This record gives sequence, structure tokens and C-alpha cells, in this order.
Amino acid sequence: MENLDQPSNSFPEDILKEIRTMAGWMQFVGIISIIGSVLGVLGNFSGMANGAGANALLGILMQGFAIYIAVILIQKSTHFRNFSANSDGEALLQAMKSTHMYWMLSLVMIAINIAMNILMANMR
Amino acid sequence: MENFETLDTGGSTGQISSEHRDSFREAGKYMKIYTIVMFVAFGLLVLGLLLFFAAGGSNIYQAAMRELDSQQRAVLEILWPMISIIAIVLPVFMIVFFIAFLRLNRSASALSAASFTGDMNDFRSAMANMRMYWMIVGIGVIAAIVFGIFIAIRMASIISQYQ
Repeated sequence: MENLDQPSNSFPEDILKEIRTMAGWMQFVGIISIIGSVLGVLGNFSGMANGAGANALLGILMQGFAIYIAVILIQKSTHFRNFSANSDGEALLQAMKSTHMYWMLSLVMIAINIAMNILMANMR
Repeated sequence: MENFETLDTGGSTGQISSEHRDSFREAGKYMKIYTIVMFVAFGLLVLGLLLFFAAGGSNIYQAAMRELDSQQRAVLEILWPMISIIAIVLPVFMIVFFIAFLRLNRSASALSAASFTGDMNDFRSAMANMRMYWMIVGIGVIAAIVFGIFIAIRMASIISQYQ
């Protein structure tokens, strides 16, 4: 059985290649998410100027949070890329920590979205 | 089994330490929870779409027209062709993203397995499925942008006709 617990530079090239491709797609999705969220913030600012008030402010906070998550995604892709470039164990550890952080914050974002929707439905 | 013992006692001989294994486990756990939440959301969305199609698009349109005032009717009249297109395209997107989340789920399982077994094949499977997930999401995002531009152009032409 091939085992992860092997001497350094032991990661097979096919895995590193997969990770390189994955990092590219991750970065793409991260950049698109940031662009979308920045547009969302601008939209909410214009809403605020037109008197949307608290709703627009909440929207800006949510989009800010989404930007933060997208930045973590880009960081994650950078760590994976570093790992694929030189099989660095520390980069893999950082990538996995970013992965954990990214999915945890995504779940928090979903929970906040649900809570906000319920709150707004009750306010109407 | 010797390999497991070596790893469990923290005696890593290479790059993968027990800290790595913990990070695999944690990442796998949150990925798994995320996919479960997404599957529930998908289920609700499918239910909504099934209700939409079961009721029949034209029936919903006529019922809405009866309930709305004249101003709201005008808005619905403009928006309805777009809603119909979205209702047709949405299931396609849903199928694509469902496949993506299946991949993520497999990746999460493989990552958790790798944290316990230390097997390179589990790690390979985790990375391959994760790559597929991000690739499908990336292509989905490109398709969504193209579809959004298409809808915006259609909307602009319809609004200009009304003006």
C-alpha cells in the first residue's frame, strides 16, 4: 500500500498535477466571487443612497463577508499551488487549514443568510 | 498495519505528520456538512420546481394576473418570458451542480479516510474529486455569466419594446 507517511518528495506527480489544475480553477472562482461581491457592495451603496437604509447596510456587511471568504479561497489556491510546486508539507498543512476555514465560513454564511431571510420575512 | 502505528504515535518519517492528519479530518468534516446542507437545499429547490411544473406555467401566470393590480400585471408581463426561460434552464444548472456536490462529498469522504488510513490512494481520490468539483463550479460560473448576459440582453430588448 502506498502511504502518505513516506520520506520527503514522495508525492506522486499525478496528484501534484491534479492539485495544480484544481488551484487554477479555485483561483478563477475566487476572483469571480470577489468581482461579484464588489459589484454587490456597489449596488447596495446605490440602494443606500436611494433610501434602502438598514437592508442595504446588511447587504454590504454580507457582501463584505463574501469577499473575505473569496480571499480565503484564493489563499487556499496559493497554498495548494505552492504544495504542487515543491511538495512542501507545510504548504499542504496551510492549504488544509484554509480548506477547513473556507468551508466553515461558507456554512456560517449560509446560516446568516437563512437567519436574515427569516428576520426580513417577519419584519414585512 | 505498522504504518498506522507509526503515524498514530506521531513518528512521521516524511512530510505527513499527525497535524496533517488532523487537518485532513477537520477539512473533510466541514466539507461533508456543507454538502449535506447543499443536498437539503437542492431537495427544497427541486420540490419548488416540481410544484411549478405540476401547476403548469400558464396556470400560474393566469392566477397571478387575476390577483395583481394593473401596475404589477405590467411588470409580470415583462418578466414572465424571462421567468419561463429561467425555469427551463434552472434544472440544467441544478443537475450540473448536483454532480459537483456529489464529487465534493466523495472528496470529503476520501479526505476523512486518508486521515485515518494514511493511504495515498485515498488522498489521490480526495484531490481528484476536489479538482472535479472546482472545475465543474468554474465552468458553471462561466455558463451562469453567459446566461446572465443573455437574460440581460433579452430583458433590455423587451423593456425597450414596451417603452
